[in-house]
Amino acid sequence: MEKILRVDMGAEGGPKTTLVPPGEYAGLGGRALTSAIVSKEVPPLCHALGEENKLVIAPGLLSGTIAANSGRLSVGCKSPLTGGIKESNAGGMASQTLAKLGYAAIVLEGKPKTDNLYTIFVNKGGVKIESDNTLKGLGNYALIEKLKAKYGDKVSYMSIGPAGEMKLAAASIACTDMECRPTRHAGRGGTGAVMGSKGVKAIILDDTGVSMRPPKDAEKFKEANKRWVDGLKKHPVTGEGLAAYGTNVLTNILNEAGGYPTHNFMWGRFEGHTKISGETEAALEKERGGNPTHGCHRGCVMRCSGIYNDKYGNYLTKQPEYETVWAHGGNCGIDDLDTIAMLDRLDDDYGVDTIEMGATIGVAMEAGLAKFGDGEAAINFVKQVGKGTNLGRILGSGAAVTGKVFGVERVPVVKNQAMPAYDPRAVQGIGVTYATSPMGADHTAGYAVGSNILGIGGKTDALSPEGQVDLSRNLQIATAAVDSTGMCLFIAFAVLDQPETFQALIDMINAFYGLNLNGDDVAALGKSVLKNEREFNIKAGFTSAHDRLPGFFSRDALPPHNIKFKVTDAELDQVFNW
Amino acid sequence: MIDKIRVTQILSPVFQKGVFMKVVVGSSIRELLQDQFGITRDFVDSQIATVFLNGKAVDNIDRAIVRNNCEIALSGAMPGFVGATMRRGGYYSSMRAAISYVEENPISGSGEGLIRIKLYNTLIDSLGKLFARQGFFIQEIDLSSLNGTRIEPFLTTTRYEQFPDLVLVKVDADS
Repeated sequence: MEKILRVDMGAEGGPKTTLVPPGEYAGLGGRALTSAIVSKEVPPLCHALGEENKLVIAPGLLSGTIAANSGRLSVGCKSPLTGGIKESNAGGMASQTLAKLGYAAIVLEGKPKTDNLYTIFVNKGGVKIESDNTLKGLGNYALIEKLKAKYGDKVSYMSIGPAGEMKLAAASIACTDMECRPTRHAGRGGTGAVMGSKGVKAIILDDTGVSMRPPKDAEKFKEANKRWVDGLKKHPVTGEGLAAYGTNVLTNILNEAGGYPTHNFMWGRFEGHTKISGETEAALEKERGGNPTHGCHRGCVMRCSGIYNDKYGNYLTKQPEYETVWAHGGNCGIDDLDTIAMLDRLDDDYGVDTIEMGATIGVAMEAGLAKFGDGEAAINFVKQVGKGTNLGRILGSGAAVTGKVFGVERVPVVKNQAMPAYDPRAVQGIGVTYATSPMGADHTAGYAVGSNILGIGGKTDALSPEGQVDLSRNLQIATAAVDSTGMCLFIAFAVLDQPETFQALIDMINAFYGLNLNGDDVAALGKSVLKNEREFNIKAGFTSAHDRLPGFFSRDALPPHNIKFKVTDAELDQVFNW
Repeated sequence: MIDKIRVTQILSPVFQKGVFMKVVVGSSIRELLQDQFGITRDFVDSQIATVFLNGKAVDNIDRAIVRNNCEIALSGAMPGFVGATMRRGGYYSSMRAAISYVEENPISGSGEGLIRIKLYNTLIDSLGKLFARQGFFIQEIDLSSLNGTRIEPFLTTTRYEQFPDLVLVKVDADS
């Protein structure tokens, strides 16, 4: 990945491309690269939809190689949803393709002076940018079908739907999967709105005639990858549970724990949980000729995704994952998988974040716009977003805006980003991460290998509130590092339990780049990423007051266990004291 | 004969919702699983990674006591960070301390009792077969959900005056 493609969408005479070496960004990938570029080059106080913001698309350090599960893509910018720095992570084929083409990143800069829509085509021969206003208003599915007629189905597409064109704060960027469907999204934080503000409807990545990236030490890399794959396959979560049921296997567990946010975070249990559980979803997919065991990109050995067919056996959407099923399911009181799958399909088509949309509909239901459990109303809400009606534009701007417009107090957001599927009163440790992550409420921000393996932060007393703060800090550091490799975060479970598998990951990076990194270096990388992100946010006006959960989590007890969030503000303020 | 996998697939919603078992209460969860249900220690330690007692995550199954009318949920190892916190005795269990089960009275009288057991994910197949063979109680409404399924011809049902709202169900799937 020896070059960065910069595209000035606001150049005189139309978009202008420049190829530059990575320079000071050399050796960075994924989130480390997106956050480094955004923090250095984007004025923190700029408007997220203005010409000064940049959209940075970066494959991970090991993307484009034979390393298993290395196909995650990072998309960074100043977020129109949070107003802070954003890294949004997606599966699909784009990361592998972009890395094979030799790009460390694509950076979209400036702002077009007209309202033309553009496509950017990249292959081994170079870059071609075309204006094509016939694509305006197309949903992602119709868009990809249209583009396939021109570019075929052997390429990777990144695209925005109508929500991105309307520059709505919940807009996502779709990445096509192995079947060339627009099902994998950089969903969080409104990255699609930023792509829309740059006037880019689609990026087409064609790696025809390009080989996998060669490692510096091929033998060592191959051997480390074998240990890596063996480690992933032998672990009960990454090797069995995820493949059989997908991430939605968590529905029953969170419900049992009383930590499953129901009816807009009013309760911790949902009566209809067994109707929408991963176990039920997988059985239904099998029954209809779908597939509950499917990877989101080539090279995935965990295969936590799947294919969801409608009742007639026709493809409807990819297997909705846990957070999506929760957001549109229990959070809205909906216990029908077909309704949830339709909502997922519509979200993907219009290009909006499923978590943000589900949380927003929950807030709208609390406001009285529809009754909890009304699936038809929920579908109509998302369709309004796609059409761009006044109500749709409010909903497409996310839960915080919707709560303000309709006078709802219980709005589950941090830094204006909707909270995912785990109530922080039940799992207080994740509440610490929701509150303090530079990304806003994000379940993946503190996700990866922990201090027990990396040795970050020394010994912690895990039973004290301070211990939870320490654990959250260490997890956020480790996650930032893993996000930079291009590895799927679900590797964390094999790595968490099997130190030899973590060593295999480090060995792969070392063999590929000819380095001699150890666990301390990985921790240092994670810290530097978080430092960049925190500094950007501080310059953008964020203070410790933004590192807080909404007050109702400390005030209102969550049934059935009747617990409140008890981590104090003073403790939260210690998360980034390292 | 209906195949074994199909049995647990059909019974999956019932096991997720929970079935009732007549057991000797007053013992630990481990004793219940191993001594009363006949599950091997190795299986308990390697496959039953996540355990809830009355909705609270259990870390120590040797100490948590099974009481009359209690609810136990059993699951394999879970994905996701929060899934990892739910594991019994896991490194991150402290992050869900607010919902961890604390046994306040480890000494409890023994006797016959009725408990509810829920099976999730990988354990539906493995333990579901065992429970189907040994028999379990379900409510009439859940029995009616099995009517018309391929499993119906292999069900035997018994009603007890002692439990008027429940039906004892056994599945003749292995013979």
